[in-house]
Amino acid sequence: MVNSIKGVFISCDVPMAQFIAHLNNSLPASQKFIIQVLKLDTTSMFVKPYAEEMIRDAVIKFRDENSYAKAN
Amino acid sequence: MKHSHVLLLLFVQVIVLLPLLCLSDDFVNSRATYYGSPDCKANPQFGRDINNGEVSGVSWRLWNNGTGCGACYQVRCKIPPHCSEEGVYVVATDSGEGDGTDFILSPKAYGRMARPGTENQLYSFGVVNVEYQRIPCRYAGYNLVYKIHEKSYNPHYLAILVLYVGGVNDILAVEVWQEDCKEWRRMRRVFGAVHDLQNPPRGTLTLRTGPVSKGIQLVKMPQVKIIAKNFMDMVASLPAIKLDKLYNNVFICEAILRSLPPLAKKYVLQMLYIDVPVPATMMEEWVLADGASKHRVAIDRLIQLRIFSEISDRKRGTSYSLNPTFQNNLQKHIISGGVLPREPMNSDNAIKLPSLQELETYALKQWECFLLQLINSGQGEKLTGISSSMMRIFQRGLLSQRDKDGPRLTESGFQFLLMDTNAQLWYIIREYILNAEERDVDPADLISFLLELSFHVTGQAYNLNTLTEVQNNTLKDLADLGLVKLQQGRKDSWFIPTKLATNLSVSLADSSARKEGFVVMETNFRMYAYSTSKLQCEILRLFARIEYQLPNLIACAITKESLYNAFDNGITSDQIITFLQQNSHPRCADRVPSIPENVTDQIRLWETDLQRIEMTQAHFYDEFPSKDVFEAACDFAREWRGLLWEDSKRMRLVVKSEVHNQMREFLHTQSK
Repeated sequence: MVNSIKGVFISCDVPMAQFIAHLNNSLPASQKFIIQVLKLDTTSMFVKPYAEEMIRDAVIKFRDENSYAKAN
Repeated sequence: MKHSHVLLLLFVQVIVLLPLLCLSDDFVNSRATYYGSPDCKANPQFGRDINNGEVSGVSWRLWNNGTGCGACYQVRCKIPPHCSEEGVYVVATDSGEGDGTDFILSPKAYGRMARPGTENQLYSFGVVNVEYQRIPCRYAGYNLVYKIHEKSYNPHYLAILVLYVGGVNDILAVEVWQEDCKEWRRMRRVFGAVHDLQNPPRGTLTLRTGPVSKGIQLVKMPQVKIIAKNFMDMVASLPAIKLDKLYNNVFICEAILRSLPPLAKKYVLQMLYIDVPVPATMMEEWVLADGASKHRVAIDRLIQLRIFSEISDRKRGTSYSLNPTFQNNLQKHIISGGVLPREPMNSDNAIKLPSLQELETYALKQWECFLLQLINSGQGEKLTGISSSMMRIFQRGLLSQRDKDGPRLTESGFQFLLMDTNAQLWYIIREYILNAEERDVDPADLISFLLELSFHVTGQAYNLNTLTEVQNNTLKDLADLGLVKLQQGRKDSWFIPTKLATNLSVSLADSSARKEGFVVMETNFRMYAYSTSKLQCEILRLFARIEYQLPNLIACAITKESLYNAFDNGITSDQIITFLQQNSHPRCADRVPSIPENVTDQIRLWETDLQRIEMTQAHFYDEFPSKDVFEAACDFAREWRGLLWEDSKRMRLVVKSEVHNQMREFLHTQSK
């Protein structure tokens, strides 16, 4: 019988995918959110539903670390 | 051509109806022919866009008084060397009876029945024996699609046209919920799949289709809000009585004549001195064949504005005649020339008229003051005389009320700021007119006054005692907006219309006075705006960081942070780039491109940087029992446009969550 799992499908470029994988690995085993890595070049993956917000926040934080704003 | 409507909010619930009983594999014998020539894809009047032009007219038996419209059939011919086994899948879009035929196919559909390469022989037969069966219609992702018919511009009329009906279902009727009587009111089926209703209930509409039986499925349609695009469209959407009253005013007739499309203008002038109705067929002969669509557009516009009235006679067909009031007034106007109800006052020493330049700056200043107050309500003193209730009305779509901090600009508010002056002015005037009823002012009077105003000469003074009470009050509001300048002498007071007023009736397409640009953009992402206006400073602050401000110069820089701020507020990179291009300083505007490419590219890149990860709610399927089930599931998902990813080797599938329920049912049926 066909099995179905609910989650979030993520499609992105390779650097972002590596970042998400790194995020996943840094979490303790109980909180890991990647269910399946779908493509060999890791540009798509299937993650648990609650991970969507967490990934977005982590990406924004990562992006902000990289930018410099002149203090005004 | 986009017709426009008065504000209509539609919230629809649709119930899917009686499924047809025969879904068996039985084909029915019949005959089929085709219309037109094999060269054209489909009759230009219908069917070109539906189902790729593979449409058919069906006999009365199948048409069933209109309920058969939109049904899907598989039709295949029975001459083995020329016919393909599968035949063609057509949608019934019209009724038509041929020589013992059930189907009159479009040329494209007819050709599809043939084996590739043998179409010409099939065309040469003219009529062929076929067998057909009814099949469920599959419109990927939709159960039911319908649109609001253009004629619903009239607020006392609503017509809907059912476009796609998924599955094997016939729409028998559509009903509207009347809140006041607490009952469902049946809409009249006009023809085919068009249902209409006179005097639809105001406000939110709830529709349902067909008698309620098994298989109820509720589908919510997104809210539909229709707005008039310019002044003339708003005039056209007035109810019939008001429009006829408007035509009593000569200037309105003239203004409307000016706004018509060129062909319509010609028709009006040609019919101006003809008293008898002119048959429609004669009018169609006035145009060449390739002008037929323009002809239709012109006639529709004239009927919409009630300039042409249509008389249908069974013997002589339809004929058109000019609205008599309109005709008389226009005739008088042509002979006597336009005489305004008021004369410009004599320029003697008592009146000191401002020069055109001064008038221009005055108008601009007032307008900017108004806009500043619009977006900065609550801050600072009240700069204009517009009452706070009026301000709140204007702010309705643009600002959102938050409890803690003051009101914030919404996404449409930001876009409003980046529009050009004519579009902004039109938005404000439209809100003003739409609100007239709440203030006990007849919108028709207001529109006629505004149109009259547009015929006055810019820069000339007109005495205030020639105006009615209502017009006087309106004038005060218009002065605050910068459309007129009020002045007072010792004995009289007068008003002077500015360019903003005289441009009101001009359609938005041809903008006469282009404001001078003021922005110089450099390749190092620095921007210099030669402007002293506070409003422009505020606008620039939306997406750039203001470095410093000198008496005639604002120096700013476009940085990643300032752009992210703008993107967070809902502004897109295209809007920013268009704003910069439209307002670039004359020195830069001559250059090609007016904004350096590295700046535009970087703005777009920063926007796409925010969209690097695409996340969709989805379901993951694996452990398929067999390859066939997997393939079937893949095709099913693909048809519903929900397939995100598939892996044939390991038989795994990712499908969007919206399609999950249908997918589950499909898999249940498959496993049986």
